[in-house]
Amino acid sequence: MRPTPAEIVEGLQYNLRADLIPELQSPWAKRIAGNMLWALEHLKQRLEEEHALAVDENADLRGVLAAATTARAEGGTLADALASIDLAPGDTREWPAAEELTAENARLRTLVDAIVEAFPAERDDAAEALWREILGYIARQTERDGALIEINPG
Amino acid sequence: MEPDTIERLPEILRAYLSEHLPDARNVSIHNVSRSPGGNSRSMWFFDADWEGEAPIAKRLMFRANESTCFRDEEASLEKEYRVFRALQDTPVPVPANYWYERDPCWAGEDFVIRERVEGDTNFRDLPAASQQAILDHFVEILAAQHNLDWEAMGLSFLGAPKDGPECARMVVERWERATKRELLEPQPVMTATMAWLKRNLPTEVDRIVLGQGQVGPGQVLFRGDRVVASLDWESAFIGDPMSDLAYLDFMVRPLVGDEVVEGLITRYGELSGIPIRRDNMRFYTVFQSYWAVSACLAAVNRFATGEMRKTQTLVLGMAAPRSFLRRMERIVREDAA
Repeated sequence: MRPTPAEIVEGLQYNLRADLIPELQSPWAKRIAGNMLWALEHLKQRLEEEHALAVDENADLRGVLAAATTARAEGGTLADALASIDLAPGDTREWPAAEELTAENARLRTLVDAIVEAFPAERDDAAEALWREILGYIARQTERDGALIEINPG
Repeated sequence: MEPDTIERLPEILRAYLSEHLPDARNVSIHNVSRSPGGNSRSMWFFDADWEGEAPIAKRLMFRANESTCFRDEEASLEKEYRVFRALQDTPVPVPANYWYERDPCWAGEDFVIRERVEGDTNFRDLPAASQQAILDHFVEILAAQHNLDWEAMGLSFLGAPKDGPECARMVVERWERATKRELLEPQPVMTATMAWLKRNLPTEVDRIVLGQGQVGPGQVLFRGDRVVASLDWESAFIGDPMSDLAYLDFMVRPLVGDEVVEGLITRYGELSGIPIRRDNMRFYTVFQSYWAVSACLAAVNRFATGEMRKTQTLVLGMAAPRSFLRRMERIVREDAA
């Protein structure tokens, strides 16, 4: 439907900047108005990008779980450490709704978090390779969140 | 606080002071305004006037218990009040704290009324010479603070580690618990950082001291080149002095540069008599990033669960921890390299 939700948010941002903020007197009110501008910009970014980022995020997590499954099968220090974690990523639909992506993300992240928590202090080559895989995911996840949060509301 | 309480605040304050100042008559309240500073608790400035005698300042602050990011388990208003009271008449300059009120009949929640000290907080925009002079004075205060006899001051209630190794272990365990309590969705970067912290716990601590937690510019008021009040004690702890020094380092190094910071660290060592332990400082730099993100997770939790659905809570919870998250991600990656 037009206007899109993001276009409506832009209208709210305009009125806040042009009509409301110039009328504010107290430093506290101005600060809160700034917070509202940030929240609106964040909302707009999420409306436009969150779905695609969530698809990337979940694919990334599935990659980590696949690497963990392979590394565990090789034996060594990881076999025992990860023995009790169910590394099966579960099913996903080709065109998931936003709520499905969120639920899937929580499930996959819980598994990766459990791997990090259980990771052995002494690492052989396979464990070292998996740890680098996990750190790569963490770096990319930090970037993805940053795209929605490290924003300039103007 | 609820909007109707905020609207009634001048009358609440007038009634409160009238009851607590028995020799004052015709108490009046003026210029009530919300403080734009601080991220954790809600504060209002106000002026009071009266006829007769009263042993308090007339420029005051009302600090509400309501907090965007702290829980009482880690940082209560009452704890902060007790630390402020203990610091009165020490070399650490603090505003007078007059009352800690628990009775919800006044404002619906706990609050403190304290003196409002005149001073500036905007350190960032000062000329370099003024920044250096203020930091020189601050380091004198920090060294004196770390030489205080916290047991004699009655501050053991903050939780005293029994030995050096327990200093770091205690804070790590406390904030790991807080993180697990507040997390609404798994954060592997937090888990990886916690693993790093547990692998790198410092064991050598030369003196167990009263630490402030959040230290330096942003937490102090200054007039001219002198620090006139140290404001933020809600994160106070008993532990390793390198924690405060690490916080000061990472807050001011980007502003004043390496040479100034190294001079401050050397001067701190000379004034305090405490050896500088760089490994401990590195540990606490990482820990404080973890701590800051953990506190912000409580804000996200409060917003998302409806406990405090206000934009200041949202923005603090989501935007404030980004630089700390990036720092943690970088450190665990460098450590693996």
